[in-house]
Amino acid sequence: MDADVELVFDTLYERKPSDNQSCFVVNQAGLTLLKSSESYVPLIEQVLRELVDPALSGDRSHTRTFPGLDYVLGAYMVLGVKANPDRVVGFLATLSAPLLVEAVKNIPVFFAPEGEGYSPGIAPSQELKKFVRELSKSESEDVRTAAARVMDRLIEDER
Amino acid sequence: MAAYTASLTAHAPFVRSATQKQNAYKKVFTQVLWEAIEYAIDYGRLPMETPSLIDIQCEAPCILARDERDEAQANQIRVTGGWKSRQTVQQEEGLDPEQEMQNIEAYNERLGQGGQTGKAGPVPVPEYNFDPSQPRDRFGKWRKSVGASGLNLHPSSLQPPNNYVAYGYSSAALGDDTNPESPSLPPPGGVVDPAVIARCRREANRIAAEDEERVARGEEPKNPFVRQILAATNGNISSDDLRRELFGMLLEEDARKTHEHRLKNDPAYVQGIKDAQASQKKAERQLAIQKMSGAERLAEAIERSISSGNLSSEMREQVKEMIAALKDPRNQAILGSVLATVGIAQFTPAGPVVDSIVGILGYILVGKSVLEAAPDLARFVTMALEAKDDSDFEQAGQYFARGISPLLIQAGTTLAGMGVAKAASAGAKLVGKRIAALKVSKKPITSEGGKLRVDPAIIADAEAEGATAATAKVGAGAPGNVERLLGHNEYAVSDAAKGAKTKQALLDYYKKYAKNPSIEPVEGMAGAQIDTVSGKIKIGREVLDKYPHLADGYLVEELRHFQVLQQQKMVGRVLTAAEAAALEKDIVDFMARPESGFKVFDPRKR
Repeated sequence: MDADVELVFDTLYERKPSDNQSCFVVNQAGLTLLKSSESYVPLIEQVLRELVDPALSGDRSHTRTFPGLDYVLGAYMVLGVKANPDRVVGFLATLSAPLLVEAVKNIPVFFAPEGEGYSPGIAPSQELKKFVRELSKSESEDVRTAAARVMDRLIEDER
Repeated sequence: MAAYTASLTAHAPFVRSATQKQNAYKKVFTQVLWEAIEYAIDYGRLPMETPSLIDIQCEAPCILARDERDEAQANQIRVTGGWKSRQTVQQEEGLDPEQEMQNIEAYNERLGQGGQTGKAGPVPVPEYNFDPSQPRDRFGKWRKSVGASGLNLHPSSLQPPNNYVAYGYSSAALGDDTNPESPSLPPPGGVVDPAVIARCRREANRIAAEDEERVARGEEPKNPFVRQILAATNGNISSDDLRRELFGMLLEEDARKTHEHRLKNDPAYVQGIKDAQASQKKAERQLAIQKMSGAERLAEAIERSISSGNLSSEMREQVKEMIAALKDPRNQAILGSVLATVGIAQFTPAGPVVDSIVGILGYILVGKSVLEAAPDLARFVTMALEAKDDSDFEQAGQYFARGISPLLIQAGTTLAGMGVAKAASAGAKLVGKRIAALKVSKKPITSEGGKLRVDPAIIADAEAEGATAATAKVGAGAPGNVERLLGHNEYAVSDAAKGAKTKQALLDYYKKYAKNPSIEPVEGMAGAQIDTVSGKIKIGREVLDKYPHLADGYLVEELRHFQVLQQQKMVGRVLTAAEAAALEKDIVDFMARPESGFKVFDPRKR
């Protein structure tokens, strides 16, 4: 398997958990992916579009099938915002509601201010914030609720 | 080389000295043989005139250094010229003339005189001896009163071949004193008693008559060969081979009947057969044990420990699972290579090797990375690896049971009060993972100050292989063991109201501050975890389903961890070992407060 693909799948399936014995864990592959190059963006898009989205559409409980999905979505948005924020927004808009909700909910996690959580060194782009704001008026209750909560978080983080 | 060859000339002092000694030895050896012949004559085994008919010649090996090819050519000339015998040449070459004679006869018999292939075979040597067809008594003595009548199975030609031996049949089985119908047979090497021959003839006629009747009834003959032989011999066909075949068949029939008779009437005979069968079975088992690998021997002995009476019922269940894991072919292969690295391939375990194996097994079976030297386990290893039969394995199993019991208790893996089958199953998986982890180390065990220490690299690799999860699983099945395995306790609610209050307060905090609050049940996970980057909490489905009294304890623990992580601004990154240890200490202190409503869970006080 190609090393790039392997890293994405290691992250998605949490194949490289922490190496300590305590109950404090991290997705080691996910951390690597978060710090990798923007070239992963198309690959992650493909995995999300062809593998994850079909599995989740209609039933969000299937997120358990992908224990490292939060890291994959976080890495996609971090790397994508760095490379091309419009592309990220355009891609997220094509996702089905369950996967979109997961993506939106993880924006605060992976764009936390310094000292408040995982900080990639950049803030979520204006395009992404605008997209979330629009989602807070979505017809889908799940999407609307998640987006509204995230907007609150983002506003809070900016203070 | 020149000096050496010079020393082996005919007049050299060494050659002369050696030749003198050879002459002395030859005289003594010849005298011994004559003595033996005289004894044989005294006991009737040889004819009185034997000394006048034979001569004994003793030849010693040639001392002089000669070229072997030249010597062979010279001997050929001497034998052909008639001044040296073949026997002398054979003796000089270290060959046994008698044995060579038999070999040559066998060769001639197979290929025919001179060889049917057209090649000239070995030169036949006429045998000088007494008449071998002369009848003997049952002890092998010649009975002069009985004439050398021959077999005379049929009047015309059915004579047994000279020196015929009832080979292939047990003379012990045939010579049955208790059966009046059973004639005495000679010992191996003797000729057949005429009474036997007469009976054989009767049997042959009876078999042939029965077959005649079968044929008359339109049935297939049962022994057509007998009929053919009889018909052939009545027609004056004299074939030694045919005679041998018929005689062998008849003897076989006689042996079968004797055997059946003795089975019914001779308890000692039956017991003898049983003893022989038991002996055969034992020999086969010993052979199988010889072929067992070190890993198989250890597993075999551990299996015997179950019936030793030294293990509690819970321990027995656990040991059964361990054996299953040890017997898994993949684990056997890995364990075999691990054991080979500490030098037990030849089954000669010395002290340090035994210590290493004890350490390996201690780690595999009870997960103790540091093990006190255990004399009973050392005896178990030594005896199992050197076992020659099942009794050795039994003894080794007893040593194992005595040695492993305290370890199981100390390690807390007896799973008091818990579902044994479930916990044992987790234990079996753990055993397999530990064995797999051992393969990465070339020196898995070191001995220091009377303690056996597992290579830390093994522990690290075991964790990488997922043994941590299995360990945690055992911990989940054995509350109280978790402290040793994972570095923390389990907690149960001591005061429902206070516990609920603590839980709600922490939940509120989590919802307020977690970027994406998530508490998710996970299949196949033991205990609970918190992702320090995402803040996501995972709790094992097994805890929720099977140990609900511990579920709140797990949840409160992780929620409290998040609270501290958030307050200390540690969310979003990997923790250092010191930070993790500090958080573990914090939870102990937090839960120890009376207002927490939780207490450390003790399975023995459930």
